[in-house]
Amino acid sequence: MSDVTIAIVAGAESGRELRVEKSLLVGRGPGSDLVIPEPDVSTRHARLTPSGSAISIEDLESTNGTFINGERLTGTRLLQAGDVIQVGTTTLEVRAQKPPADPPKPPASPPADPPKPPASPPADPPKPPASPPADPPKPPASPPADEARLNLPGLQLTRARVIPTLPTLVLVTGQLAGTNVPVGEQVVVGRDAALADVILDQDSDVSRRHATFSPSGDGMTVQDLGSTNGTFVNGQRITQAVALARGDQVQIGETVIEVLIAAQPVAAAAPAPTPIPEVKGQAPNSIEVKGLVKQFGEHRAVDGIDLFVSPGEIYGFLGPNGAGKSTTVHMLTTLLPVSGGTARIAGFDVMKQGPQVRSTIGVALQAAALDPQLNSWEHMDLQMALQGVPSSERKQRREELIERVGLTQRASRRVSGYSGGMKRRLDLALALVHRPRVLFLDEPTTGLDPQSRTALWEEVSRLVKEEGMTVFLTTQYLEEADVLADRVGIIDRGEIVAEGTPAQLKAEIGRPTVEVTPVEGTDSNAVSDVLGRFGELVSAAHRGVAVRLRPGIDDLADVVRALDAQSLKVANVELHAPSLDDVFLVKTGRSLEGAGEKPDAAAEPA
Amino acid sequence: MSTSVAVPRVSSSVAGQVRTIARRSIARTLRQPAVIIPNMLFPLFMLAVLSKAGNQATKIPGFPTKSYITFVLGATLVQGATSAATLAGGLLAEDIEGGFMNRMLLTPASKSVLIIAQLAGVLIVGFLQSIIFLLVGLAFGVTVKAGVGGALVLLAIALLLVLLFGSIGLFTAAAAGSLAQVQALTGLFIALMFLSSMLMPRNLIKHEWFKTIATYNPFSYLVEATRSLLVTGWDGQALALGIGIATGGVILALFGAVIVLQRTLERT
Repeated sequence: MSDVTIAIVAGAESGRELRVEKSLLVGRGPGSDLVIPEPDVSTRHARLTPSGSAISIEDLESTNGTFINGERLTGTRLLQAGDVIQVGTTTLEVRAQKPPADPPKPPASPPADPPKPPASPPADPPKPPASPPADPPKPPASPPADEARLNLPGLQLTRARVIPTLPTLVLVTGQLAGTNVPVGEQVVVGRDAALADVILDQDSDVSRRHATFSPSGDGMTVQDLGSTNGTFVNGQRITQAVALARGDQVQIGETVIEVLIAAQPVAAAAPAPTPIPEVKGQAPNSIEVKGLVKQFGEHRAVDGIDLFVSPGEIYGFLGPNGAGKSTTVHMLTTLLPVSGGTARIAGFDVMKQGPQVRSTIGVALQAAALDPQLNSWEHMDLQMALQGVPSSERKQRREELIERVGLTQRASRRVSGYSGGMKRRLDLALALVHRPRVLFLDEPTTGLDPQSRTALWEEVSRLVKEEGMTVFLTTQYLEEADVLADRVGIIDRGEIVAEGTPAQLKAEIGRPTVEVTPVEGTDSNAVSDVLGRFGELVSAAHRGVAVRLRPGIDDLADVVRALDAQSLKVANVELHAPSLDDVFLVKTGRSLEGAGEKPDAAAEPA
Repeated sequence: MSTSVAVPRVSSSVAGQVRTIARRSIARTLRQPAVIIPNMLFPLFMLAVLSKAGNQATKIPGFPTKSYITFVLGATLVQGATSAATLAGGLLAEDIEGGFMNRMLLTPASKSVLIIAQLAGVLIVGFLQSIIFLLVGLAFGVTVKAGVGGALVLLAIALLLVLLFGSIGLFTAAAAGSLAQVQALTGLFIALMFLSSMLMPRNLIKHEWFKTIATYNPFSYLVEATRSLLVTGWDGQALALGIGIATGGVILALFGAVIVLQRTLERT
């Protein structure tokens, strides 16, 4: 159980106090555990998670940000008593759960200075938050008995108080379970109190000096010091220094240590962006999908997917042909009945409130669905009439949209004479006639030339930025997802195999891959043996052999030397930086079709 | 506490939807002369050939008229109307295959309206075509025994026949979903035309098997209804049978098309 609680000190539920015993979702959406009904709060804004005796907070890519002590949060951060969390206009404060033993000190405020290391208590007393809390924050709990097992002076006073900018070890099990150890400098773990900083003297499986954790850049490394029973990282016994990533688990004897590293260094306080405008009294323009299934006979085209798209977000839905992208879009746009699960668009159930959903969404399906016998004006008139756009608005609206997509000069010509790019642009304009709140684009740039593609990307970005539209974009093109999408979901065989921001997904893979193509196909096994020494073998896109390099190995020359030492002749050696295709490869064991293919391949001119 | 959910504006009036889709149907139909002109020329060509070749038939005792072109013009009107099937069905099949139907389904418009209003274009074309056939006939000596009123009723029946065959085309397109299957209707209709009383009154058909087929062939009654106004004047029985069969056919075909499309074009 965590030693701290979260108190709401300003906002609609001021005075309420939360115990974070399980992961709590903070947001504007009705599914949130803490609902903050403010326009500046995203539907899924942030998440509070118990982490040993502490609580960590993660910003869920909210539009307007989560601020800790005045600094915008990026990624995950551990909280300490006195921290002030700002979500919209609501202020939350982290409080120690035990009653104060010492006189209370003033609450925290946005610090003027960068965060301090844990070894020293904060130099400046925290200042009051925007609205003063009912009770002043409590100081941390008295040092527990376990602190005797820590030879880190700072920790004597600050159990469960860590500065989140430092990489931290969270001792999850064992005699020091619940203790957090920041790694500002080298930390030795062992059984001997005279030799170790973190003393595990009740565990006979731990050697006297067992392992060291050392800061390295923004992260840290672990090295086994020749222990008898070994040090394990994610279940693998290590033999040399290993760089640790966020979420890695290190096992030393009975003690499991979880690694907590901020996703990015905490940036200096940044001004909050302009809030996305919301139509008052309307449902949020979000997409909420739970366990969505589409079954065609025995075949499950979509197999129980969950996804959530926040208002104003561009969500890239990436996958090869036949993965289930278009089927998902057809279900979400009411064109296909759902076989199982639920889906709500802007709050409307796609199965029960089809007409309302259709009034809320704009859709540009995979092939531009146009009548070759009609011109652009006629298409616009037809679409506006069927969508119920008032007659008085139609002329202005159609001219505005036709101009925006650059078709004014050709609008009187029949569509049969349009290029692929022009058809796509008209298709987009038609999807926008009724000012939808959620826009579905099903492979909008397939077959377009680079110029048309870029123009369409710009228009989509503008729609999100200026009109606060939510965009659900399916694509086969990695570049498109990378450029356009705030978040990406990768679907394969009807299941979502990965989800996150493009940067997160690539960071998850994290390490470069070397792909080697031997001259002789018969050398593949020998090449595999050599590459296996440098990391984990992964599927190669072509007939080669690929290895994802182990942390600490970044030099291609080492690999080449090792191959040369075995007299292996290679036709090609390539070093790949992590890409979304690598993410796909890792998650599915195969390469995404068209991954190497640029969107302009087989393009039609604009 | 959760955000309130407001129901957005849903669709324009049904009449407005019908008007909009009908306008599009008319525009796209009239803009395809390559489809319309052959459909119009073929019945006229048949009229010219048959009226010349069939003149001898008028000498058969009991033949109802001395002008074979007058006798056969009714069949020409029916044959012209059959082209509505491929026209309406073809356009609907194109909409389904090309995804335009999905575009319309993604609006709040009613599905029945989306289907039935598609007939507007073929009704206009079919009506104009029937007028042209009548004028050509009149120019070549056809008389309308039932007079001017009969001519107007003749055009009204022709319009009903266009509606009938257009609906059959929609049903076929809905059920098959492909243009090729819709086009196969042309051959079927030509066969049924020639197996009807199109060329000879049923009572004068010598071969029993042909007479039996013609009696059970609904095309005979469609032809006889139109022909009666040209040849015999006001024949209540012929008109009732023809109009009854056509009306029943329209109801069945349209109902079937809507039902089939409801299933084919699933939408929540």
